[in-house]
Amino acid sequence: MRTLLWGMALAACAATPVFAADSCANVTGDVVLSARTPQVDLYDSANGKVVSTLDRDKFPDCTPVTARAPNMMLKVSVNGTDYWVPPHMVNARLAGKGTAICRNLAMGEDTTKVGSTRGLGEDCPKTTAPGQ
Amino acid sequence: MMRRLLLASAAFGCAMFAAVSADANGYPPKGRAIDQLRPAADYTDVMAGRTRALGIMRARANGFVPSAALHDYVRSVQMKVLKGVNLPPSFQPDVRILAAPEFTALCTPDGTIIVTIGLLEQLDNEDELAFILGHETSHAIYRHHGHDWYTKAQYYAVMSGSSFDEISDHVGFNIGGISTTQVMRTAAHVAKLSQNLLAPQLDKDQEDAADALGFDLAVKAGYDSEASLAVMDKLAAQEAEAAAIAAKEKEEQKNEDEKETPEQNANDLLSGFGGTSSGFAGLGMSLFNSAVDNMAEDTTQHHPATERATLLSAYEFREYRTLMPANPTPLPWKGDNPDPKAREMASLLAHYSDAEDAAAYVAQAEAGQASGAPPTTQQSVTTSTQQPTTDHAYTEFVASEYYDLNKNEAQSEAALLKAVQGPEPSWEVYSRLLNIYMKRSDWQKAETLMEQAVPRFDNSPVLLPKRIAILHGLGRQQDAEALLPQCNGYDIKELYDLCKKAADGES
Repeated sequence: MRTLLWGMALAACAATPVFAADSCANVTGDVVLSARTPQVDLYDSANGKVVSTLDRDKFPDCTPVTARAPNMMLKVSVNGTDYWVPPHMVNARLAGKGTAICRNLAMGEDTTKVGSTRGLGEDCPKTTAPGQ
Repeated sequence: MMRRLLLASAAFGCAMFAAVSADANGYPPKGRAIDQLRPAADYTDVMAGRTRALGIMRARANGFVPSAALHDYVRSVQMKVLKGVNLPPSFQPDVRILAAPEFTALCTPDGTIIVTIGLLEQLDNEDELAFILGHETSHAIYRHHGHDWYTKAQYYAVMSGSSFDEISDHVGFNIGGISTTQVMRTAAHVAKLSQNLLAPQLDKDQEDAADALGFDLAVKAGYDSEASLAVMDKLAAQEAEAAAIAAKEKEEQKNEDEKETPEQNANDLLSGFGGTSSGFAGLGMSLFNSAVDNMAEDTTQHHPATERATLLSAYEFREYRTLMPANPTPLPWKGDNPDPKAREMASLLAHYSDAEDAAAYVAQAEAGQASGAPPTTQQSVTTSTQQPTTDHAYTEFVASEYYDLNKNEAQSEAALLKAVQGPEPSWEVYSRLLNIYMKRSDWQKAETLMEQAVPRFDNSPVLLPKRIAILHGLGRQQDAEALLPQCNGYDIKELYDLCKKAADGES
């Protein structure tokens, strides 16, 4: 019973980012959901210098990411101007962070993931086995 | 009413987590962890436990991956991360690669970092590996492991080994009044849980302290400061899987219990287990109840990766705000690296990936969720058992399972025989092959194989129930019972139960 309660408590806590993501559901693709740190530094380029700093509450939510640099900096538009932000300063929803692991078998509609099939089918085309 | 109670419980849980993370954690209150590091003067005592720790870990999953190239590369990253840190000569960290598909890493008390093949497969760059190695090695530098680490780690190894024994012992057999499928599923879930959780979790503050120092070490070595958060994303996904497996299994078990007939329920009460009058089935359910509770609790109570990511970002903001993220260093096995060792690692990882494809297909087919073998599965099996993984336990084990699925017993056994002759042993392989001999009542052959296994697994307690069963089969009851005190010496009730049943001829 203790296990179940802890599990539920954690599930509820873990649900928070999902709600945040849902609030930006109307924005497709990569998106900065909100500021994560008390302030967010805005850079003029991915390897450039800080040109402005915004307090957390001034940083706009649901800001589309228009580019991603090799060093993981994110390009966003704030008040009509393009800036780059360090990922650790923001909560972001980024698609295809890593290489999809596309297994050669049919998962059908069963999207349950377990350890040995982790990542199975994520970002992969749906396939079915012969005869199915 | 019930729903309200559950929501209140959940809210309480969140409030407590929030309070803990705000009030106390293992991060330094100010400054960087690396600047405040005071390593122990001597690590000789923990180094003395290395053989024992490796013995425990070797009996896990499909054992260690025998690849000097992979070992040397991962260790070189570990050394790079530790360069310039003032550690005493008695601190001798090392690495081992475990043949398991999960995204997991851990540190044994002596500073051996165990990383899974699944972790290496899922990394995007060397920077992520550097943070993981920095984090895990920090646990050893700080001497975080409790005195009961070996006992707990041994418990997980025993439960994992027992569940694999049960799976291999009862493939295709009907047991008591309980469906084989249910027992198999139960054992498989225990195995899965134990693989997700290779060793006891360390406490929250210790994880925070290792995150802070691991971050510092990786950044000092020139790695990308943002890689740590990418690792946390992957860990969070893994944790969600483990929690989902535990919850799903609990629910399914509850449904199975409710479906039992009054006669079955009476049987349960008489046998004292949650299963049937069959010794094995009852024990399977007993293992399920204790192991799932213990492991699920550990997977849900430790410090969640989502919370750790928040703390890490706050630390980075406080201590490294002006640091420009570095371009990540590519992993040697990715891309067109012409270096022969890089190609060897790429080939090895591709073969393990092929074997995982085949294993996933076999699992689906056994669950009745796939029909007909895609031609690529046969190809995956063929490819994965060629050089450089021709005698690797994992790839040959998967080949054996695939041949079993296709009712090709001779090829299945041949794959297992090839695997036991490989450079690193796997208990899953030994257990499966021993089972074949035991079913044929070829006790002599079973004993010979077990005699080979005992020293290879450092006399691991994981082997004890089968050792006893073989001695019982040979008619050497006195020798079988002479091992019972050894079973009792590990303070693992489930192990003693298994040993006792084996000695009584019930396994």
